[in-house]
Amino acid sequence: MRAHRGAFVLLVAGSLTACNGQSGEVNDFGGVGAVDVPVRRGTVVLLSCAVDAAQRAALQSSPVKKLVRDVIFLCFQIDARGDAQPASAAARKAFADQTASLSGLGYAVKVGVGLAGATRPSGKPKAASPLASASFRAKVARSLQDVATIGDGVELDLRDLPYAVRDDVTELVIGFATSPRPIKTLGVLVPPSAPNAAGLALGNAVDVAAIAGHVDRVRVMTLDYSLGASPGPTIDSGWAVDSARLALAETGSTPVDLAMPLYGWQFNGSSEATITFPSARSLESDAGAPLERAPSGAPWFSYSEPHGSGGEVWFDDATSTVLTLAAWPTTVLPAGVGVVFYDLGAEDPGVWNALAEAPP
Amino acid sequence: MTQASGARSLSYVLAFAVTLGLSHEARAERGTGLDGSFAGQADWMPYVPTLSVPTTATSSRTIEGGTLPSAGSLYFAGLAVDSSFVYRARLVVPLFGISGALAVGDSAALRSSVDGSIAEERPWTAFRIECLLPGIGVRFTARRWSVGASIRGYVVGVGMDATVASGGGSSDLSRPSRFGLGARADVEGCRRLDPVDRICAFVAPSLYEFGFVNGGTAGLRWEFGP
Repeated sequence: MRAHRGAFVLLVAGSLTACNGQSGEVNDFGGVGAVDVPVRRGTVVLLSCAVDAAQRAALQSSPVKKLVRDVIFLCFQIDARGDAQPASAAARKAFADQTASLSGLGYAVKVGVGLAGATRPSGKPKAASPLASASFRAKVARSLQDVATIGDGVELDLRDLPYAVRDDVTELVIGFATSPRPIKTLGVLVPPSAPNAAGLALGNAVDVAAIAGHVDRVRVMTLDYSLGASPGPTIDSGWAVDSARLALAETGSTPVDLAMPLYGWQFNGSSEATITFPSARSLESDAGAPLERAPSGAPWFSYSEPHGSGGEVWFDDATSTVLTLAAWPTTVLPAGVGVVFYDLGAEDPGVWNALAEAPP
Repeated sequence: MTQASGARSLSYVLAFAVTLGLSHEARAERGTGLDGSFAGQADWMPYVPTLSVPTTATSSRTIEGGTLPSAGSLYFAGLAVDSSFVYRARLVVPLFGISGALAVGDSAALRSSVDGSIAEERPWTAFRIECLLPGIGVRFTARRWSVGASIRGYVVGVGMDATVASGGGSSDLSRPSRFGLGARADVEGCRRLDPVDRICAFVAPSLYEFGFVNGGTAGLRWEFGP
Protein backbone atom coordinates (compact mmCIF):
# COMPACT_ATOMS: atom_id res chain seq x y z
CA MET A 1 0.00 0.00 0.00
CA ARG A 2 2.78 2.43 0.89
CA ALA A 3 4.60 1.51 -2.23
CA HIS A 4 1.53 2.39 -4.27
CA ARG A 5 1.28 5.79 -2.63
CA GLY A 6 4.93 6.43 -3.27
CA ALA A 7 4.49 5.45 -6.89
CA PHE A 8 1.60 7.90 -7.17
CA VAL A 9 3.76 10.78 -5.99
CA LEU A 10 6.48 9.83 -8.44
CA LEU A 11 3.93 9.62 -11.23
CA VAL A 12 2.61 13.09 -10.51
CA ALA A 13 6.08 14.59 -10.52
CA GLY A 14 7.08 12.66 -13.59
CA SER A 15 3.97 13.73 -15.48
CA LEU A 16 4.58 17.36 -14.66
CA THR A 17 8.15 17.08 -15.86
CA ALA A 18 6.99 15.44 -19.06
CA CYS A 19 4.87 18.52 -19.78
CA ASN A 20 8.05 20.44 -20.46
CA GLY A 21 7.52 22.22 -23.76
CA GLN A 22 11.16 22.88 -24.67
CA SER A 23 9.91 25.38 -27.19
CA GLY A 24 13.34 26.85 -27.70
CA GLU A 25 15.00 23.59 -28.60
CA VAL A 26 14.09 22.84 -32.19
CA ASN A 27 15.14 25.38 -34.73
CA ASP A 28 13.41 28.15 -32.86
CA PHE A 29 15.60 31.18 -32.51
CA GLY A 30 13.17 32.71 -30.09
CA GLY A 31 13.81 36.33 -31.03
CA VAL A 32 16.14 38.83 -29.51
CA GLY A 33 14.10 39.80 -26.49
CA ALA A 34 14.87 42.99 -24.63
CA VAL A 35 18.54 43.71 -25.08
CA ASP A 36 20.40 46.88 -24.33
CA VAL A 37 22.62 48.41 -26.98
CA PRO A 38 25.05 50.87 -25.44
CA VAL A 39 25.41 54.20 -27.15
CA ARG A 40 28.77 54.35 -28.92
CA ARG A 41 30.37 56.81 -31.26
CA GLY A 42 29.24 55.70 -34.71
CA THR A 43 30.97 55.83 -38.07
CA VAL A 44 29.81 54.62 -41.45
CA VAL A 45 32.10 53.60 -44.27
CA LEU A 46 31.11 54.02 -47.90
CA LEU A 47 33.11 52.11 -50.44
CA SER A 48 32.72 54.61 -53.25
CA CYS A 49 33.35 58.31 -53.74
CA ALA A 50 29.76 58.90 -54.80
CA VAL A 51 26.65 58.66 -52.69
CA ASP A 52 23.74 56.87 -54.32
CA ALA A 53 20.12 57.63 -53.61
CA ALA A 54 19.68 54.87 -51.04
CA GLN A 55 22.82 55.87 -49.16
CA ARG A 56 21.80 59.51 -49.19
CA ALA A 57 18.36 58.63 -47.90
CA ALA A 58 19.92 56.62 -45.09
CA LEU A 59 22.31 59.42 -44.18
CA GLN A 60 19.42 61.90 -44.13
CA SER A 61 17.32 59.69 -41.86
CA SER A 62 16.93 60.42 -38.19
CA PRO A 63 18.17 57.03 -36.91
CA VAL A 64 21.43 57.30 -38.81
CA LYS A 65 21.93 60.88 -37.75
CA LYS A 66 21.37 59.73 -34.18
CA LEU A 67 23.84 56.85 -34.42
CA VAL A 68 26.55 58.15 -36.72
CA ARG A 69 29.02 60.99 -36.34
CA ASP A 70 31.70 60.24 -38.93
CA VAL A 71 31.33 59.28 -42.56
CA ILE A 72 34.36 57.72 -44.23
CA PHE A 73 34.59 57.57 -48.00
CA LEU A 74 36.96 54.67 -48.44
CA CYS A 75 37.50 55.30 -52.13
CA PHE A 76 41.07 56.52 -52.59
CA GLN A 77 44.04 54.29 -53.21
CA ILE A 78 47.73 55.02 -53.36
CA ASP A 79 48.96 53.38 -56.52
CA ALA A 80 52.33 51.84 -57.30
CA ARG A 81 53.68 55.24 -58.34
CA GLY A 82 52.72 56.84 -55.06
CA ASP A 83 49.80 58.81 -56.46
CA ALA A 84 46.37 58.91 -54.87
CA GLN A 85 43.63 57.69 -57.18
CA PRO A 86 41.24 58.95 -58.39
CA ALA A 87 43.48 61.81 -59.33
CA SER A 88 41.52 63.71 -61.97
CA ALA A 89 40.48 67.21 -61.09
CA ALA A 90 36.90 66.50 -62.11
CA ALA A 91 36.66 63.45 -59.85
CA ARG A 92 38.20 65.37 -56.95
CA LYS A 93 35.81 68.26 -57.52
CA ALA A 94 32.79 65.95 -57.58
CA PHE A 95 34.02 64.25 -54.46
CA ALA A 96 34.58 67.54 -52.69
CA ASP A 97 30.99 68.49 -53.50
CA GLN A 98 29.78 65.22 -51.99
CA THR A 99 31.71 65.76 -48.79
CA ALA A 100 30.46 69.31 -48.50
CA SER A 101 26.92 68.07 -48.94
CA LEU A 102 27.30 65.54 -46.13
CA SER A 103 29.05 68.05 -43.92
CA GLY A 104 25.91 70.11 -44.33
CA LEU A 105 23.97 67.22 -42.77
CA GLY A 106 26.13 67.46 -39.69
CA TYR A 107 28.57 64.65 -40.34
CA ALA A 108 32.35 64.80 -40.05
CA VAL A 109 33.44 63.55 -43.45
CA LYS A 110 36.70 61.66 -43.67
CA VAL A 111 38.65 60.61 -46.73
CA GLY A 112 39.73 56.98 -46.61
CA VAL A 113 42.92 56.10 -48.44
CA GLY A 114 44.15 52.56 -49.01
CA LEU A 115 47.87 51.87 -49.00
CA ALA A 116 47.84 48.30 -50.26
CA GLY A 117 48.47 49.38 -53.84
CA ALA A 118 51.63 51.17 -52.79
CA THR A 119 53.19 48.08 -51.28
CA ARG A 120 53.29 45.90 -54.35
CA PRO A 121 56.65 45.75 -56.05
CA SER A 122 56.26 45.98 -59.76
CA GLY A 123 58.31 44.12 -62.30
CA LYS A 124 61.06 41.98 -60.91
CA PRO A 125 60.37 39.16 -58.54
CA LYS A 126 61.96 39.58 -55.12
CA ALA A 127 61.88 43.34 -55.68
CA ALA A 128 61.50 45.36 -52.51
CA SER A 129 58.28 47.20 -51.84
CA PRO A 130 58.35 50.78 -53.11
CA LEU A 131 57.54 51.87 -49.56
CA ALA A 132 61.06 50.85 -48.56
CA SER A 133 62.26 53.96 -50.39
CA ALA A 134 62.28 57.20 -48.42
CA SER A 135 61.66 59.21 -51.55
CA PHE A 136 58.64 57.05 -52.41
CA ARG A 137 57.25 57.53 -48.92
CA ALA A 138 57.74 61.27 -49.30
CA LYS A 139 55.78 61.16 -52.54
CA VAL A 140 53.00 59.20 -50.89
CA ALA A 141 52.91 61.75 -48.10
CA ARG A 142 52.54 64.55 -50.64
CA SER A 143 49.69 62.65 -52.29
CA LEU A 144 48.02 62.29 -48.95
CA GLN A 145 48.46 66.01 -48.33
CA ASP A 146 46.61 66.70 -51.56
CA VAL A 147 43.73 64.39 -50.63
CA ALA A 148 43.63 65.86 -47.17
CA THR A 149 42.44 69.17 -48.52
CA ILE A 150 39.03 67.55 -48.91
CA GLY A 151 36.80 66.78 -45.94
CA ASP A 152 37.46 66.83 -42.23
CA GLY A 153 40.16 64.24 -41.94
CA VAL A 154 42.07 61.36 -43.46
CA GLU A 155 41.71 57.70 -42.61
CA LEU A 156 44.58 55.49 -43.72
CA ASP A 157 43.53 51.96 -44.53
CA LEU A 158 46.37 49.76 -43.32
CA ARG A 159 44.72 46.44 -44.05
CA ASP A 160 46.02 43.91 -46.53
CA LEU A 161 49.60 45.04 -46.10
CA PRO A 162 52.43 42.49 -46.11
CA TYR A 163 54.41 42.09 -42.93
CA ALA A 164 57.56 43.07 -44.84
CA VAL A 165 56.45 46.70 -45.07
CA ARG A 166 55.47 46.99 -41.42
CA ASP A 167 58.34 49.32 -40.50
CA ASP A 168 58.02 51.33 -43.71
CA VAL A 169 54.32 51.88 -43.12
CA THR A 170 55.03 52.91 -39.57
CA GLU A 171 57.52 55.51 -40.80
CA LEU A 172 55.08 56.73 -43.42
CA VAL A 173 52.22 57.13 -40.97
CA ILE A 174 54.31 58.83 -38.32
CA GLY A 175 55.93 61.10 -40.92
CA PHE A 176 52.57 62.12 -42.32
CA ALA A 177 51.03 62.51 -38.88
CA THR A 178 53.78 64.83 -37.70
CA SER A 179 54.02 66.89 -40.87
CA PRO A 180 52.08 70.12 -41.22
CA ARG A 181 48.80 69.13 -42.82
CA PRO A 182 45.54 70.85 -43.60
CA ILE A 183 43.42 68.16 -42.00
CA LYS A 184 41.77 68.12 -38.66
CA THR A 185 42.09 64.44 -37.81
CA LEU A 186 44.04 61.37 -38.83
CA GLY A 187 42.77 57.86 -38.23
CA VAL A 188 43.96 54.42 -39.23
CA LEU A 189 42.01 51.32 -40.17
CA VAL A 190 43.94 48.30 -38.92
CA PRO A 191 43.41 44.55 -39.15
CA PRO A 192 42.31 42.70 -35.99
CA SER A 193 44.96 40.95 -33.92
CA ALA A 194 42.86 38.13 -32.45
CA PRO A 195 42.89 34.94 -34.53
CA ASN A 196 39.94 34.59 -36.86
CA ALA A 197 38.15 31.39 -37.83
CA ALA A 198 41.07 30.44 -40.05
CA GLY A 199 43.44 30.95 -37.14
CA LEU A 200 45.02 34.03 -38.69
CA ALA A 201 45.95 37.01 -36.55
CA LEU A 202 46.31 39.66 -39.23
CA GLY A 203 47.16 42.50 -36.90
CA ASN A 204 50.87 41.70 -36.86
CA ALA A 205 51.30 43.49 -40.16
CA VAL A 206 50.78 46.87 -38.49
CA ASP A 207 52.75 48.24 -35.56
CA VAL A 208 49.77 49.71 -33.76
CA ALA A 209 51.74 50.52 -30.63
CA ALA A 210 54.15 52.69 -32.60
CA ILE A 211 51.45 54.42 -34.63
CA ALA A 212 48.77 54.94 -32.01
CA GLY A 213 50.38 57.89 -30.32
CA HIS A 214 50.46 59.82 -33.59
CA VAL A 215 46.87 59.36 -34.74
CA ASP A 216 43.50 60.44 -33.44
CA ARG A 217 41.67 57.13 -33.68
CA VAL A 218 42.51 53.49 -34.33
CA ARG A 219 39.73 51.59 -36.04
CA VAL A 220 40.06 47.83 -35.69
CA MET A 221 38.34 46.36 -38.71
CA THR A 222 36.73 43.29 -37.22
CA LEU A 223 35.35 42.04 -40.50
CA ASP A 224 35.42 38.87 -42.56
CA TYR A 225 35.82 36.54 -39.57
CA SER A 226 35.16 33.39 -41.57
CA LEU A 227 37.11 34.30 -44.66
CA GLY A 228 39.54 31.53 -45.57
CA ALA A 229 37.77 29.06 -43.32
CA SER A 230 34.51 27.16 -43.65
CA PRO A 231 31.41 29.27 -44.35
CA GLY A 232 30.39 31.29 -41.35
CA PRO A 233 29.46 34.71 -40.04
CA THR A 234 31.16 37.93 -41.11
CA ILE A 235 31.81 38.86 -37.50
CA ASP A 236 32.05 37.03 -34.21
CA SER A 237 31.28 39.37 -31.34
CA GLY A 238 33.69 37.66 -28.95
CA TRP A 239 36.49 37.76 -31.50
CA ALA A 240 35.84 41.46 -31.96
CA VAL A 241 36.09 42.01 -28.21
CA ASP A 242 39.37 40.12 -28.04
CA SER A 243 40.66 42.20 -30.96
CA ALA A 244 39.59 45.42 -29.27
CA ARG A 245 41.29 44.41 -26.03
CA LEU A 246 44.52 43.70 -27.86
CA ALA A 247 44.30 47.07 -29.57
CA LEU A 248 43.44 48.89 -26.36
CA ALA A 249 46.50 47.39 -24.74
CA GLU A 250 48.63 49.04 -27.42
CA THR A 251 46.92 52.33 -28.07
CA GLY A 252 47.09 53.96 -24.68
CA SER A 253 44.79 56.97 -24.64
CA THR A 254 44.07 56.90 -28.37
CA PRO A 255 40.43 55.92 -28.90
CA VAL A 256 39.59 52.65 -30.58
CA ASP A 257 36.70 51.62 -32.81
CA LEU A 258 35.40 48.18 -33.74
CA ALA A 259 33.80 47.40 -37.08
CA MET A 260 30.34 45.98 -37.67
CA PRO A 261 29.80 44.61 -41.18
CA LEU A 262 26.67 45.63 -43.01
CA TYR A 263 27.31 43.14 -45.83
CA GLY A 264 27.63 39.39 -46.07
CA TRP A 265 29.62 36.71 -47.82
CA GLN A 266 28.63 34.23 -50.46
CA PHE A 267 30.70 31.07 -50.14
CA ASN A 268 30.52 29.20 -53.40
CA GLY A 269 32.83 26.24 -53.45
CA SER A 270 36.32 27.61 -53.24
CA SER A 271 35.34 31.15 -54.16
CA GLU A 272 34.11 33.83 -51.82
CA ALA A 273 32.42 37.11 -52.70
CA THR A 274 30.74 39.83 -50.74
CA ILE A 275 26.99 40.19 -51.01
CA THR A 276 24.56 42.86 -49.93
CA PHE A 277 21.55 42.21 -47.77
CA PRO A 278 19.04 42.79 -50.61
CA SER A 279 21.01 40.49 -52.92
CA ALA A 280 21.21 37.80 -50.26
CA ARG A 281 17.47 37.91 -49.66
CA SER A 282 16.82 37.86 -53.37
CA LEU A 283 19.08 34.83 -53.82
CA GLU A 284 17.41 33.12 -50.90
CA SER A 285 14.02 33.74 -52.42
CA ASP A 286 15.08 32.54 -55.87
CA ALA A 287 16.68 29.42 -54.45
CA GLY A 288 13.72 28.67 -52.22
CA ALA A 289 16.21 28.08 -49.46
CA PRO A 290 15.03 28.11 -45.87
CA LEU A 291 16.64 30.90 -43.91
CA GLU A 292 18.34 29.77 -40.74
CA ARG A 293 20.04 31.57 -37.92
CA ALA A 294 23.33 30.74 -36.33
CA PRO A 295 23.64 30.92 -32.54
CA SER A 296 25.07 34.41 -33.04
CA GLY A 297 21.83 35.41 -34.73
CA ALA A 298 23.46 35.74 -38.14
CA PRO A 299 21.09 34.60 -40.90
CA TRP A 300 22.37 32.13 -43.43
CA PHE A 301 21.14 29.71 -46.03
CA SER A 302 22.55 27.11 -48.36
CA TYR A 303 21.58 26.74 -51.97
CA SER A 304 22.31 24.54 -54.92
CA GLU A 305 22.48 25.41 -58.58
CA PRO A 306 21.12 23.38 -61.49
CA HIS A 307 24.53 22.12 -62.57
CA GLY A 308 25.19 20.75 -59.15
CA SER A 309 27.29 23.38 -57.47
CA GLY A 310 26.03 25.45 -54.64
CA GLY A 311 27.13 27.25 -51.59
CA GLU A 312 26.20 29.12 -48.49
CA VAL A 313 25.38 32.75 -47.89
CA TRP A 314 25.99 34.36 -44.53
CA PHE A 315 25.04 37.93 -43.79
CA ASP A 316 23.77 40.21 -41.07
CA ASP A 317 20.42 41.80 -40.54
CA ALA A 318 18.81 44.00 -37.92
CA THR A 319 18.48 41.11 -35.46
CA SER A 320 22.05 39.92 -35.64
CA THR A 321 23.41 43.47 -35.66
CA VAL A 322 21.48 44.38 -32.54
CA LEU A 323 22.62 41.17 -30.83
CA THR A 324 26.24 41.81 -31.75
CA LEU A 325 26.26 45.38 -30.52
CA ALA A 326 24.38 44.37 -27.39
CA ALA A 327 27.19 41.92 -26.65
CA TRP A 328 29.52 44.86 -26.15
CA PRO A 329 28.21 46.50 -22.96
CA THR A 330 30.43 49.06 -21.31
CA THR A 331 31.38 46.45 -18.71
CA VAL A 332 33.03 44.50 -21.51
CA LEU A 333 34.30 47.32 -23.73
CA PRO A 334 34.91 50.86 -22.46
CA ALA A 335 32.32 53.42 -23.44
CA GLY A 336 34.92 55.21 -25.53
CA VAL A 337 35.12 52.35 -28.01
CA GLY A 338 33.19 53.31 -31.12
CA VAL A 339 31.56 51.29 -33.87
CA VAL A 340 32.32 51.50 -37.58
CA PHE A 341 29.39 50.34 -39.71
CA TYR A 342 31.11 49.06 -42.79
CA ASP A 343 29.72 49.32 -46.33
CA LEU A 344 26.75 51.64 -46.12
CA GLY A 345 24.17 50.63 -48.70
CA ALA A 346 24.68 46.90 -48.24
CA GLU A 347 22.67 46.76 -45.04
CA ASP A 348 19.28 45.50 -43.98
CA PRO A 349 17.19 48.68 -44.27
CA GLY A 350 15.69 47.92 -40.88
CA VAL A 351 18.98 47.93 -39.04
CA TRP A 352 19.06 51.66 -38.29
CA ASN A 353 15.62 51.80 -36.74
CA ALA A 354 16.33 48.64 -34.75
CA LEU A 355 19.51 50.14 -33.34
CA ALA A 356 18.00 53.54 -32.71
CA GLU A 357 15.04 52.02 -30.88
CA ALA A 358 17.05 49.58 -28.77
CA PRO A 359 17.30 50.72 -25.14
CA PRO A 360 20.79 51.97 -24.29
CA MET B 1 16.57 -18.07 48.46
CA THR B 2 18.35 -18.22 45.20
CA GLN B 3 15.14 -19.06 43.39
CA ALA B 4 13.32 -16.27 45.16
CA SER B 5 16.04 -13.85 44.29
CA GLY B 6 15.96 -14.98 40.68
CA ALA B 7 12.19 -14.62 40.54
CA ARG B 8 12.45 -11.17 42.06
CA SER B 9 15.03 -10.16 39.52
CA LEU B 10 12.87 -11.49 36.71
CA SER B 11 9.88 -9.62 38.01
CA TYR B 12 11.93 -6.43 38.16
CA VAL B 13 13.00 -6.90 34.56
CA LEU B 14 9.47 -7.60 33.43
CA ALA B 15 8.19 -4.64 35.35
CA PHE B 16 10.81 -2.41 33.77
CA ALA B 17 10.01 -3.77 30.33
CA VAL B 18 6.28 -3.25 30.81
CA THR B 19 6.89 0.21 32.16
CA LEU B 20 9.12 1.02 29.23
CA GLY B 21 6.58 -0.35 26.81
CA LEU B 22 3.75 1.58 28.36
CA SER B 23 5.87 4.66 28.43
CA HIS B 24 6.69 4.23 24.74
CA GLU B 25 3.03 3.67 23.97
CA ALA B 26 2.16 6.72 25.98
CA ARG B 27 4.67 8.78 24.00
CA ALA B 28 3.29 7.39 20.78
CA GLU B 29 -0.17 8.33 21.86
CA ARG B 30 1.03 11.80 22.62
CA GLY B 31 2.52 11.90 19.08
CA THR B 32 6.19 12.28 19.84
CA GLY B 33 8.86 10.97 17.52
CA LEU B 34 10.49 11.27 14.18
CA ASP B 35 8.43 11.95 11.09
CA GLY B 36 9.40 11.33 7.49
CA SER B 37 7.86 12.37 4.20
CA PHE B 38 8.03 12.09 0.45
CA ALA B 39 6.48 14.82 -1.67
CA GLY B 40 5.67 15.50 -5.28
CA GLN B 41 5.64 19.22 -5.77
CA ALA B 42 5.41 22.10 -8.19
CA ASP B 43 7.56 25.20 -7.72
CA TRP B 44 7.01 28.64 -9.13
CA MET B 45 9.82 31.17 -9.35
CA PRO B 46 8.53 34.53 -10.60
CA TYR B 47 12.11 35.74 -10.60
CA VAL B 48 14.85 33.33 -11.59
CA PRO B 49 18.12 34.84 -10.39
CA THR B 50 20.98 35.94 -12.58
CA LEU B 51 23.33 33.02 -13.04
CA SER B 52 27.04 32.96 -12.45
CA VAL B 53 29.26 31.67 -15.24
CA PRO B 54 32.78 30.55 -14.44
CA THR B 55 35.64 31.21 -16.83
CA THR B 56 35.08 28.90 -19.78
CA ALA B 57 37.36 27.96 -22.65
CA THR B 58 35.51 27.53 -25.94
CA SER B 59 36.88 26.35 -29.25
CA SER B 60 37.66 29.93 -30.29
CA ARG B 61 38.33 31.92 -27.13
CA THR B 62 38.44 31.95 -23.36
CA ILE B 63 35.39 33.60 -21.87
CA GLU B 64 35.98 35.34 -18.59
CA GLY B 65 33.45 34.57 -15.91
CA GLY B 66 30.37 36.71 -15.69
CA THR B 67 26.67 36.58 -15.15
CA LEU B 68 23.73 35.70 -17.34
CA PRO B 69 20.53 37.70 -16.92
CA SER B 70 17.42 36.44 -15.22
CA ALA B 71 15.33 34.05 -17.28
CA GLY B 72 12.24 35.62 -15.77
CA SER B 73 9.53 33.36 -14.40
CA LEU B 74 9.75 29.57 -14.42
CA TYR B 75 7.74 26.64 -13.17
CA PHE B 76 9.32 23.46 -11.86
CA ALA B 77 8.13 20.01 -10.85
CA GLY B 78 10.03 17.69 -8.60
CA LEU B 79 10.33 15.50 -5.55
CA ALA B 80 11.30 16.07 -1.97
CA VAL B 81 12.36 13.89 0.95
CA ASP B 82 12.08 15.44 4.37
CA SER B 83 12.20 14.70 8.06
CA SER B 84 10.93 16.32 11.21
CA PHE B 85 10.63 15.75 14.90
CA VAL B 86 7.14 15.91 16.39
CA TYR B 87 6.58 16.54 20.07
CA ARG B 88 3.24 15.57 21.57
CA ALA B 89 1.57 15.84 18.18
CA ARG B 90 1.66 19.59 18.47
CA LEU B 91 5.13 20.97 18.20
CA VAL B 92 6.84 20.20 14.90
CA VAL B 93 10.52 20.74 14.35
CA PRO B 94 11.37 20.33 10.65
CA LEU B 95 14.83 18.78 10.49
CA PHE B 96 16.63 18.10 7.27
CA GLY B 97 15.48 17.31 3.78
CA ILE B 98 16.36 17.56 0.16
CA SER B 99 14.42 18.34 -2.98
CA GLY B 100 15.10 18.50 -6.66
CA ALA B 101 12.99 19.85 -9.50
CA LEU B 102 13.15 20.36 -13.24
CA ALA B 103 11.61 23.12 -15.34
CA VAL B 104 8.19 22.45 -16.85
CA GLY B 105 6.11 24.34 -19.36
CA ASP B 106 6.98 26.29 -22.47
CA SER B 107 9.95 28.57 -22.38
CA ALA B 108 11.87 30.22 -25.17
CA ALA B 109 15.62 30.61 -25.46
CA LEU B 110 16.90 33.80 -23.92
CA ARG B 111 19.69 35.67 -25.64
CA SER B 112 22.21 37.83 -23.91
CA SER B 113 25.97 37.97 -23.78
CA VAL B 114 28.86 37.05 -21.57
CA ASP B 115 32.28 38.63 -21.99
CA GLY B 116 31.39 39.82 -25.47
CA SER B 117 30.11 36.51 -26.81
CA ILE B 118 26.43 36.11 -27.62
CA ALA B 119 24.91 33.68 -25.14
CA GLU B 120 21.77 31.60 -25.19
CA GLU B 121 20.12 30.50 -21.97
CA ARG B 122 17.83 27.49 -22.22
CA PRO B 123 15.25 27.80 -19.49
CA TRP B 124 13.62 24.50 -20.37
CA THR B 125 16.73 22.79 -19.00
CA ALA B 126 16.55 24.65 -15.69
CA PHE B 127 16.78 22.77 -12.43
CA ARG B 128 16.58 23.67 -8.81
CA ILE B 129 17.78 21.81 -5.75
CA GLU B 130 17.15 22.55 -2.11
CA CYS B 131 18.76 21.43 1.09
CA LEU B 132 16.07 21.94 3.68
CA LEU B 133 17.26 23.19 7.06
CA PRO B 134 15.68 22.97 10.51
CA GLY B 135 12.77 25.21 11.44
CA ILE B 136 9.82 25.34 13.79
CA GLY B 137 6.11 24.69 13.44
CA VAL B 138 2.85 23.51 14.98
CA ARG B 139 0.25 20.91 14.19
CA PHE B 140 -3.40 20.68 15.24
CA THR B 141 -5.20 17.37 15.02
CA ALA B 142 -8.91 16.60 15.02
CA ARG B 143 -9.75 12.95 14.60
CA ARG B 144 -8.20 11.87 11.34
CA TRP B 145 -7.57 15.38 10.12
CA SER B 146 -4.78 17.73 10.96
CA VAL B 147 -3.44 21.07 9.86
CA GLY B 148 0.05 22.32 10.38
CA ALA B 149 2.25 25.29 9.72
CA SER B 150 5.96 25.75 9.92
CA ILE B 151 8.74 28.07 8.91
CA ARG B 152 12.22 27.00 7.95
CA GLY B 153 15.34 27.91 6.05
CA TYR B 154 16.98 26.21 3.14
CA VAL B 155 19.87 26.40 0.76
CA VAL B 156 18.71 26.65 -2.85
CA GLY B 157 20.57 26.23 -6.08
CA VAL B 158 19.25 27.12 -9.55
CA GLY B 159 20.90 26.48 -12.87
CA MET B 160 20.32 25.78 -16.53
CA ASP B 161 22.17 24.97 -19.72
CA ALA B 162 23.61 27.83 -21.74
CA THR B 163 25.77 28.19 -24.80
CA VAL B 164 27.79 30.95 -26.43
CA ALA B 165 28.07 31.61 -30.12
CA SER B 166 31.42 30.64 -31.52
CA GLY B 167 31.74 31.46 -35.20
CA GLY B 168 28.91 29.70 -37.00
CA GLY B 169 28.32 27.28 -34.14
CA SER B 170 28.15 27.35 -30.40
CA SER B 171 30.00 26.11 -27.34
CA ASP B 172 28.57 25.01 -24.03
CA LEU B 173 29.15 27.19 -21.03
CA SER B 174 30.15 25.48 -17.81
CA ARG B 175 26.74 25.06 -16.25
CA PRO B 176 25.63 28.50 -15.07
CA SER B 177 24.08 28.43 -11.63
CA ARG B 178 23.37 30.47 -8.54
CA PHE B 179 23.13 29.33 -4.92
CA GLY B 180 21.62 31.19 -2.02
CA LEU B 181 19.79 30.98 1.27
CA GLY B 182 16.02 30.99 1.47
CA ALA B 183 13.24 30.93 4.01
CA ARG B 184 9.71 29.72 3.55
CA ALA B 185 6.48 29.12 5.38
CA ASP B 186 4.72 25.78 4.98
CA VAL B 187 1.03 25.22 5.52
CA GLU B 188 -0.38 21.72 5.23
CA GLY B 189 -3.66 19.93 5.61
CA CYS B 190 -3.49 16.18 6.23
CA ARG B 191 -5.73 13.17 6.52
CA ARG B 192 -4.50 10.20 8.46
CA LEU B 193 -4.83 6.97 6.50
CA ASP B 194 -3.78 4.62 9.26
CA PRO B 195 -1.93 4.97 12.57
CA VAL B 196 1.28 5.75 10.74
CA ASP B 197 0.52 7.23 7.32
CA ARG B 198 -0.94 10.57 6.34
CA ILE B 199 -1.50 12.20 3.00
CA CYS B 200 -1.11 15.93 3.01
CA ALA B 201 -1.62 18.81 0.66
CA PHE B 202 0.73 21.68 1.27
CA VAL B 203 1.49 25.18 0.15
CA ALA B 204 4.86 26.73 0.95
CA PRO B 205 5.20 30.37 -0.06
CA SER B 206 8.73 31.62 -0.29
CA LEU B 207 9.46 34.38 2.19
CA TYR B 208 12.89 34.99 0.76
CA GLU B 209 14.68 33.39 -2.15
CA PHE B 210 16.97 35.65 -4.19
CA GLY B 211 14.49 38.34 -3.21
CA PHE B 212 11.49 38.69 -0.94
CA VAL B 213 8.31 36.70 -1.66
CA ASN B 214 9.68 34.93 -4.70
CA GLY B 215 6.99 32.39 -5.53
CA GLY B 216 6.68 29.13 -3.65
CA THR B 217 5.96 25.44 -3.68
CA ALA B 218 2.78 23.38 -3.55
CA GLY B 219 2.12 19.70 -3.79
CA LEU B 220 1.14 16.45 -2.18
CA ARG B 221 3.12 14.88 0.63
CA TRP B 222 3.05 11.40 2.04
CA GLU B 223 4.03 11.55 5.69
CA PHE B 224 4.70 8.69 8.04
CA GLY B 225 5.28 8.96 11.74
CA PRO B 226 3.48 10.18 14.85
